[in-house]
Amino acid sequence: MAAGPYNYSYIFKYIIIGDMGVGKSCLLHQFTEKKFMADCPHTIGVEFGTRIIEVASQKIKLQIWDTAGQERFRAVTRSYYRGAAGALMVYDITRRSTYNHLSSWLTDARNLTNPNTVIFLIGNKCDLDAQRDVTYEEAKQFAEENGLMFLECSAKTGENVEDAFLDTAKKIYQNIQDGSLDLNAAESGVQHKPATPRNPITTDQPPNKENCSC
Amino acid sequence: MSDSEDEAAFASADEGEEVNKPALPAASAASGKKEKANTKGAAQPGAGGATATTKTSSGDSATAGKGEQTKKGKGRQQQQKGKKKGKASSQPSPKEDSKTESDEKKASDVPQTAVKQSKSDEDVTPKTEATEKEQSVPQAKSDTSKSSQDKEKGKGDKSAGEDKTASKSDSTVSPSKSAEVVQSDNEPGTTTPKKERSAEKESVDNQKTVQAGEVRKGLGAEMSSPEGQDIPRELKDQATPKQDESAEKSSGGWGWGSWGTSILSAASSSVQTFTTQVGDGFTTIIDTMESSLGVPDPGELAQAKEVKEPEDEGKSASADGEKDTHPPQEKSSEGQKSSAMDKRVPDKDVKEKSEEKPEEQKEAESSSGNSWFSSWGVADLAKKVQDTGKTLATKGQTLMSEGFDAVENLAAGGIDVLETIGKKTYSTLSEHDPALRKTREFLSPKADKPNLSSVLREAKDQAEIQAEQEKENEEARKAHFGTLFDDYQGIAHLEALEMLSNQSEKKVHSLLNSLASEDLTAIKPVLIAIKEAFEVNEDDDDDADLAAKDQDFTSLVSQHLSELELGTAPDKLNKVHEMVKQWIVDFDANESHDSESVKNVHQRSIQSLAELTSKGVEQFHKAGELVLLERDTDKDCTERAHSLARLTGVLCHEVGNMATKFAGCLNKMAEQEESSDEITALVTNIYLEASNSSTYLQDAFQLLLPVLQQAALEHSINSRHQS
Repeated sequence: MAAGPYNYSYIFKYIIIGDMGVGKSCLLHQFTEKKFMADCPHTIGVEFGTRIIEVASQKIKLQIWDTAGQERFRAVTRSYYRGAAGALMVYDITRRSTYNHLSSWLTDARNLTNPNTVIFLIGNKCDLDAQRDVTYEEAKQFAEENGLMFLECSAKTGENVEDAFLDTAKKIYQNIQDGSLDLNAAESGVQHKPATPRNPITTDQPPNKENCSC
Repeated sequence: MSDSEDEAAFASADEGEEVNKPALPAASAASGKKEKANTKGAAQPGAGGATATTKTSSGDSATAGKGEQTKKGKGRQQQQKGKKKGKASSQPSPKEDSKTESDEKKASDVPQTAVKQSKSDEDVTPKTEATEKEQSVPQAKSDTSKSSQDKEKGKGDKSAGEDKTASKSDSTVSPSKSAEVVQSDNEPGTTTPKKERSAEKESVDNQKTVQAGEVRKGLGAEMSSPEGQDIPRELKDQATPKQDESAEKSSGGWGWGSWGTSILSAASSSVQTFTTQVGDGFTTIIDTMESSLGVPDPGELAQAKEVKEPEDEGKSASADGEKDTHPPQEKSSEGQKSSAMDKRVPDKDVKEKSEEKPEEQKEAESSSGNSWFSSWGVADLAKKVQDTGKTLATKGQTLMSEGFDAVENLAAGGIDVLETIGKKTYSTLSEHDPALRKTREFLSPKADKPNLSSVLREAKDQAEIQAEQEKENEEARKAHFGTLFDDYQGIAHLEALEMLSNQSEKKVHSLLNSLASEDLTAIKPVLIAIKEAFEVNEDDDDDADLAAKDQDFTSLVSQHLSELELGTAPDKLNKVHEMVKQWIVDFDANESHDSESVKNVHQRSIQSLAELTSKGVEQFHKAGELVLLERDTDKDCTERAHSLARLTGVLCHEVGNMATKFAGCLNKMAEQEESSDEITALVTNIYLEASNSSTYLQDAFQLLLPVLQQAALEHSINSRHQS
């Protein structure tokens, strides 16, 4: 079969993690559809979203893995961290418990991704400032202490949502440019597509050949 | 320039003509060499005329002994000169026109006298000629004196028609009364011997006239030609009076004998200064200063030169005799070249004449300065010159002061001269070579330098190709299974399932390793049964498919999923299936498929296959996740495995069904349309992608094996722990 046509030169894999109900799926929906999803069902396992963005005049396809926040899925979702170039770690500014669990999520993110994975801390629901339970300052401090990028967003209003995704992509691209992210590494989470690309992930052959268990 | 200035220049030019005339007859009376000399002299003052002069002189000398040929040569030269003049004068400015007119006037006057002479006596003495000319001159003068505008009007008619056919301007116009004679002169074969003789003289006269005209023109061209207008403008106050004088002087030869010696003298000195200034202009300002300042007295100089001149002329004449091969002087060499050129191309076009202009200028520059006096050195004229010299001496001083101013202005004027020459060069070049294309090509090797338009065209083509490609890509994307499968997140689910499967496999290995041999033997049958369920599926496939040719997809899927007891609903699968089904029903209901292009049907079929496949994969993925989550349930994993196997069978069958239906649609269209080859290819593609789709589904199913095994292992371990 002929090589499939592609209109982007990179694929970045993102993974969105965080407690149940912090608004991970809504953030994704806001980013990909630019709409707020009012009553979002619980995510089973993992859902996906894609959007092609442009960084430094390079078209990049963001392949976003939106994981289930329920604790029971934790075991399953842990298997999806691998090969993520960016991890969006989300908490709800109106619920301190979601903030308190961040260290657990961060541990997973650190352990299950490669060291160059960009981890972005997002304090969602910043439109509900009246019900704020976590101050911007303490979250900011937490982010700085752990070397995370940080923004408060609102999936409802869309505030900063775009920036969170784009800043992550820029950081990843920068890592590629300065060589700290090796594209050839299996777990980089970045796939590079040549100008006239071939279908990257097996269209015609059985898909098993990638990521053989090791 | 203002009108008044124009008129002034005009008037001066006219006067100049008149004055000039006397000189030529005198010269004609003299020997051929002297004639040449005279010609030279007359021509030299005019910067533009210098070249012509040199040529003429050489031509004359050569001609002297040759007789008819001489005539021819002269005639031609005349013509050519006339052309040159005509051209020079024909250039746009009103001033020039006026001068041309004056030229013509002169010319017409002269021929008259010439004709008379030829009729009366072949060996005309210079004096008679002169007198006759004088007579004619006054006429001209009176004409001129009326008013410059009158002249313009009267002669404008002539010049108007003749400007363009410049070549004829002199030969036809100048002889006005003796026009026929002159023309016959030019064409020797037609004329009678007598006429020929007279014609010869006429031609000489004409030539002189022409030369005088040239001189004037030379002045006119450089001083007041449209391009040169800058100079006069700058010189305005101081130079305009001088122009008048210079004009008088330049044409001084004509009025020589009896008429206004004082004017002549004044004119001669100023002309000398001026012509040299203008002629040498930018190249030799210092020379000019020497000639105007360093030389104490024009008269003295004239005397001093008298001695030298004949020699020079003799040389040049001899050189001419030697076929112009050895230019006697560097200065004359240019002129000779040009003359040689003239000879080579006697019948030049108007354009070619224009080309000569720059040359004329050059030669004028080179030779005008020094050789002006040589013209005065003609033996016959020596005495008169001496006489005039005295007058000139006195006049010279007054002129000197004016000369200073002129020189000062010249510094500024020089730049203008440069500009003028630049412009002229350009116009000359561009006349022959529109937009200077050839010149540019010649100067810049085209091969190396890509020109802008071609680069732009290339870029445009490339952009078009790119746009086309993008469009094609977009089209291809719509019908590309892999891409569409990716768009529907099929690939992502497959990848996630794969990761899940890998993890489960690792877990199974570690669990098996950790189990005691006892437990291992207990669990082994279960694992083998699960594995068999996955293997059996492929064998059963065909039978199951054959059994349900047109299956009830929705109910079957629902049934199998509920058997899994995982709490998942086949909403997405059913939705896709319904959509496709509806589309096909609509298609069949619609008899005329004009609205549906073959391409669209193909796109639709591939898209449907991809969507169904991706949803199927997603279903398997979810099932795998849930199987792992629901490890505590008592549901037998082997049963789940069988249910999943059946589900796979249903999905694969549905994919095949879909492909067949779409192919049927396309085949229907093939009956209506001619492009059956294309449709055949598309049908083939649909079946190909259908098998691709089945492969994906079965791959997804196979990925569930480790997941189920892990679930079974954990379940047995858990139950064992519990028990």
